[in-house]
Amino acid sequence: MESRDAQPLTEAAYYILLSLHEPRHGYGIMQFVREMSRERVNLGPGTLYGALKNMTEKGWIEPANAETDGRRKEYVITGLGRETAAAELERLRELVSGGLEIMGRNRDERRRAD
Amino acid sequence: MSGGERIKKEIKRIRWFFDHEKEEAWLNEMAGAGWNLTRMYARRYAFERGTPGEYRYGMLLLDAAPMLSRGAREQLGFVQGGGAQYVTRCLRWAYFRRRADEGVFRLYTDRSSQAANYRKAALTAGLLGVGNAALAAGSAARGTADTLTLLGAAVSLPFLWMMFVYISKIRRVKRESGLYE
Repeated sequence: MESRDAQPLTEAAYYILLSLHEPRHGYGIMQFVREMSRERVNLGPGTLYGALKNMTEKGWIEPANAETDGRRKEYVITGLGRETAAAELERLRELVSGGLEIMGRNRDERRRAD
Repeated sequence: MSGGERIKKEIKRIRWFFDHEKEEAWLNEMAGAGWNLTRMYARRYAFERGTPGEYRYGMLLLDAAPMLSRGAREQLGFVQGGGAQYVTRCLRWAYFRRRADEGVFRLYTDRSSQAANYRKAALTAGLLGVGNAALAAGSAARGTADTLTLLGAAVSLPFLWMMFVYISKIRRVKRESGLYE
């Protein structure tokens, strides 16, 4: 099985995977993402429901309890989900290091010119 | 208080929308004026008098009809667990609201989930439109064109237009998603 999709994760998908390193239900995920992003990312319940369904189908997350009431159903990350999140972290590191190399250097040059 | 001075507590309106985002905007306009949606049945909307601007409304197309699908019932419960209050339902369209002082209320917060909702809406409208058009065409081809055939053809048109509206929306989202998430 392929360890992850070749495409970058969306910001929402990345935060959802982070939030599920411990079991959480929908509202818990929404709160975690809001807090972790310093209130910048607010997940709508329609968006979150679709994302959880897709991630379950891909095997990145799984139900953590046998609850059938959508309000109380909890999810948790799987081994494949951890690999996916780790690969995304690596991609983000690469983006940041490239950005720092170019923009950080330009900033230093501007400082020297001043 | 005389009868003429009595303040209405409930009003009913009949409307047809091709676009649920326009429907949401209208519901929020009504809520802004103090009329909160309570029920909706066969394009008849019932509103009750409340505090102007107390609620924001949002609509979601369920994956299936809740009476037929456990998944759709779970979906309804999930959205309520996310802080939205369930108001009413018309076929697969569910109507939710949240108090305006709890912040911005949006059921879909990224382009891909918004596009998925548009796709579901386009498919539903398309099936009804094409299905009715095919029935009408079938009976016309057999030379049995009657009132029912004309009715089928007439019913298919608004659904085909709805399908076109949602396909345009999907195209717009795709254009916008070139640079942004």
